[in-house]
Amino acid sequence: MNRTIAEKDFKLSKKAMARKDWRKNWQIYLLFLPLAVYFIIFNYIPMVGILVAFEDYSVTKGFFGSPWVGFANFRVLFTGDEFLIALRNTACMAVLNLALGFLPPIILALLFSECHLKPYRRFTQIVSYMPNFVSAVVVCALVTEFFGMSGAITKILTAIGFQEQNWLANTQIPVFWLIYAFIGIWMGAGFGSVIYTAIISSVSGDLKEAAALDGANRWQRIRYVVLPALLPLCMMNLTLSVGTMFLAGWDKVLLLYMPKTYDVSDVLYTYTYRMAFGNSVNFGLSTASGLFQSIIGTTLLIVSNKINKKLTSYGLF
Amino acid sequence: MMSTGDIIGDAVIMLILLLVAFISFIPLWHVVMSSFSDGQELLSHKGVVWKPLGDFNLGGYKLIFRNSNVIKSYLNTLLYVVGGTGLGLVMNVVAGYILSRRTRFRPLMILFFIITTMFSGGTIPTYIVIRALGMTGTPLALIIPGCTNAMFILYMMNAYMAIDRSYEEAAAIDGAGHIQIMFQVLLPQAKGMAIVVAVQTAILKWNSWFEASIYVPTQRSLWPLQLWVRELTTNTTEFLKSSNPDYNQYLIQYAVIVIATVPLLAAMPLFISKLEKGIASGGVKG
Amino acid sequence: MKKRPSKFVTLLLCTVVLCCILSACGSGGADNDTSFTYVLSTGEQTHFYAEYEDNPAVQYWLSKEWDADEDGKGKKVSIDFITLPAGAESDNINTMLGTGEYPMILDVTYSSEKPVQLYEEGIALDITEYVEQYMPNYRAWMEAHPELGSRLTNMVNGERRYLGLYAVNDAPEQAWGGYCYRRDWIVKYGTNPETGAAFSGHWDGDNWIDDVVFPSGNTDPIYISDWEWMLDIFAKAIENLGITDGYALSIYYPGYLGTGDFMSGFGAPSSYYIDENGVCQGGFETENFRAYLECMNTWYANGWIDPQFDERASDMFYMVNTAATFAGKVGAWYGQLGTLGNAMDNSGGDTSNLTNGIVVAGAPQPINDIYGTDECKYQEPFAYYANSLISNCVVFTNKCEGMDLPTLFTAIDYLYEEDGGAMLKAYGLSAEQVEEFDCQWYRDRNLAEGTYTVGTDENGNTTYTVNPVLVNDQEGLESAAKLNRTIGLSQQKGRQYGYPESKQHWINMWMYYDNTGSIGNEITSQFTTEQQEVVEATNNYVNTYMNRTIPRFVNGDLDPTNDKDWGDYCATIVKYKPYEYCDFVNEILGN
Repeated sequence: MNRTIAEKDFKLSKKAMARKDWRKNWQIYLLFLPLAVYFIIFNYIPMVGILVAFEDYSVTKGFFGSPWVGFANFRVLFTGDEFLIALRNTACMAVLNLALGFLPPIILALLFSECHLKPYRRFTQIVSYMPNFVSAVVVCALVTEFFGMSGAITKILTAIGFQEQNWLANTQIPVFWLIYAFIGIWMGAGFGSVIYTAIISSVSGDLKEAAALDGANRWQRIRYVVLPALLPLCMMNLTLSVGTMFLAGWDKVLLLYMPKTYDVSDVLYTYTYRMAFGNSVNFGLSTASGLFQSIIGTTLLIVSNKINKKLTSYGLF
Repeated sequence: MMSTGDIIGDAVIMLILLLVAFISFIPLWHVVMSSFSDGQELLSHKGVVWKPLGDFNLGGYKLIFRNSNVIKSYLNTLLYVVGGTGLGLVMNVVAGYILSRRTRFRPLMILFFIITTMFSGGTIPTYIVIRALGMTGTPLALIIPGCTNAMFILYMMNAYMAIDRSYEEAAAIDGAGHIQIMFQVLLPQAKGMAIVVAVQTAILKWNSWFEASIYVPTQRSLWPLQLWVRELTTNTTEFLKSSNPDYNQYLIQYAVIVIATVPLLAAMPLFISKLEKGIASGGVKG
Repeated sequence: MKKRPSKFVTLLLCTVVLCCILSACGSGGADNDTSFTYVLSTGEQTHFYAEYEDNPAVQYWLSKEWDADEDGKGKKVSIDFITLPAGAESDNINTMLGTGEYPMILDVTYSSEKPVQLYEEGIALDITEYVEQYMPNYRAWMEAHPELGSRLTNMVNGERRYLGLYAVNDAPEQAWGGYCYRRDWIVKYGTNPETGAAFSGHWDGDNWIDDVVFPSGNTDPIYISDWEWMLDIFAKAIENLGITDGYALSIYYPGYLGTGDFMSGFGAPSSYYIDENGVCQGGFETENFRAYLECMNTWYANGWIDPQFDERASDMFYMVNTAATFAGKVGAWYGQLGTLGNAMDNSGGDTSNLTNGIVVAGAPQPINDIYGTDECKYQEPFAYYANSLISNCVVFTNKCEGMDLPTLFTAIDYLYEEDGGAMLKAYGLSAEQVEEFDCQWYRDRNLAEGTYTVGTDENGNTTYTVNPVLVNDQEGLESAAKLNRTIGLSQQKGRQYGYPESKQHWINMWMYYDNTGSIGNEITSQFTTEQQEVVEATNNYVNTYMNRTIPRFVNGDLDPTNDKDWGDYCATIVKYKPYEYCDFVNEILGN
């Protein structure tokens, strides 16, 4: 099962390789064509909009007519008083989200697969998807409730010896970051497990039976049959999550943070939001901030792919 | 045949799952119970709503459904979900296959897709493209764009690559072409992932409202359900400015979540059984 | 197995065909030089009518013929109104402007580019000649309000030009919100400040009657000292009732409202305001603001203020503690019209419920008589959050070129005609108009008698009493029956709702003082692009800093009476150069 993509046995010249590749795979490339067209039309052409990051953009003058300002938008962004704090918070929260949020869906999928009472499994599975369907606004309102003064979770924390307080107003590191990571898990772990369930189920039947016949116990089955099958997907997911961890989901911070906790809760998204969306919208600033995060993300993606490739040989590209 | 260890293990697993289910259950339960509550009592309530506050009340739902467009929007959403998911499925299946082949340009093609998740150009240029295609103001603008993304394609790729090569090699020896291998040999085995990705596409389409608000802003008869949800919940406490406030207005924000989520959740058992069946037929039988 | 993929393909094809058919239906309308398109900022709830042009008041207006050139031949105007999805207005307007798909008439409320910018870019037309030639009523309003008239024109190359038309009122609209306090707690737990006798109060039909007297001798709380007396009573009430999570006063997040309100009775709102000479000022480092903070600091120390006021906030929501307020655990707060009187009582007669017998009254912005220097005391409040006389603005875009603009402006001027369109905009159709127009929509909603009845009050002034059907309606009928969303003059003088006396009194309390100090959108929307950029950047820094610092002055972290704390604050604020804003506004105001 363990296969690497790198084909080292090719020792032909480049040209011959290309010809051979074309002869063998021209159908594949033909199939790729319509997909490429789709992505070029709906994703690549609109990327013209990224120009806005370098412009003093005015909607009426358009992408090519607005005055070019070079890196002025970035300069405004990077020289703001709270930029460094926002950058630090973004980085720490993204890493924490990834570190804490990566495993729960996998564990949950394993638990589901090991639950043999079918109706019970189905019920818990469906219920665990639910938070995914409830809007972030409602979830954040409940979080405010639970972690607020005399909220349910606050009470539990008080019972184990913490001081009673509104935890969302706590400015100690890493309280806010942990709460934020917790929300991510709460909302996403259940539905995130679906994808792993699909893989686990596909290896379960016969292979697991075979392993069971060999006298393997539950843990050995998971360790030697299920996990190896999951590994490629996990690795791919990890690489992608590292790349996109800066990009999505920050709107929840906007619902949870307060000026009192800016020192720990302000992230690039909210920082830009305050700067760019006042009475009028500053497209230049918001696009510049988005581009900055995209570039960081892409760099991380490439690096993590490299590392992955080295360590586990499951490289994406 | 089960050992005591296994039984204890099973019990522990079931217990953990129960806890997970309970925690996951809270937000939606809170919303459902709030939507059946008395609006004024709800306003003065602090904490999770475990059972309807005051008398059982359908006032919020009545306010929503007095607008006949809301009912029609279910059909619109269905059209967009089915259309988008269908198109997306074909694209995911094909693209995943392409990327799972050992071709010279594979890494480049993967990069081609991944870049689209990292960079995007914003609303206005996308609008200009879609207008150039003549799709603005039509349902096409809500079906065709955004029915797949790099993540989904990579998931499909992964599923194909997890399949034992011997199947396709055997098929190739029999003289099967790419299309045949893809649809007849590999897809049945990667069906589980295809379903998972299709469901995720469907959920994306079901939940999307922004596209509709930009591409069909004034064609209210084309609005999907979620755009009505937005429209109905933009200002949830505005009614208190009226001299004779109707507290049922406060329930709308909860009731819309219920009407927009319940159909999806109702479809979930179907999805899970499809998933299980798909995997069973994929499995080893081929 | 083989069937599967073909099924998907078929499904896909079907969908595509279906979509094509659907999109083929519904194509554009006829064009002539009197049909216009008009993007509104907001529409009505859609169960009243699908499109705004189905609004009976609109139909009545557009059924008229206009003779702009006075040649005896009238012409009708038709307008295709466009309402945008709620919550996505600015995205839509930006897309419209960015792609050239903007309408002929554009409401700029949600536009990130305002009239001046739109004019600079060649989108908005200079409509001066039309306003001067065809809009006598509009100009009449401007002449009647000389201090506001200049705000409706824009500076273009050193000349005052009309770039947009504004919706205006002839008198302030009735307030929908203000300070609320628990009158029943004062009756129950307070005593007469002079005689020490207990108070009594009861509902007499729809009116609340009591003998409450505040220390200043008034029956409403007028001074800060009245408020302190009252808050002390609330604190006692809360203690007596054993409420652990209640407090005397719930305030909004940063500890002040940028619009003035509570602060304005100390002589100067904290941020920007227009003083008695009509000059824009910034009150950030004034002694007045310091006195206000001293007051808040003291109140907080007394345990009167919501101890978590600075945690009840995110950028999306600044709020008072709604749950506690509606549960009857708060003494005073900033509330809305719908909460006055016993509206918040949901006890159902259960006396153990804290909302039982609740009486919520409205209070004016209090006048400071305790804190700070003499110049901070006995100042009449003059700036608070309220509807101003000027609201929405529309511009006419270059798509209007070649259209019959004289007729359009004549038609629009009708909306500024007192007792004409101004009544349509303020109320809707009268009984005669319903009759004349044979309006089934009105009859279906019990409005055959029209939206108002004309009468005379004891001083001989004309009054317009709103139809009780509209007053009692809970679903927005009042707004849907009139021309609420377009531009025009809304005739508010003499408006009567027929509320019970006590309720009307409390509403009047909210607008007890004239709101002359607020800076409305009509001013800030006149900033040039460069000014706008400066203002945005400054505001961001100033707001962020104040949002983080002011709560600390209130909760005792910082001490407003300590010269070092205050000096540090002032030094930082000045660093952000907040006063450029005043220069810009003064330039617009012509100071």
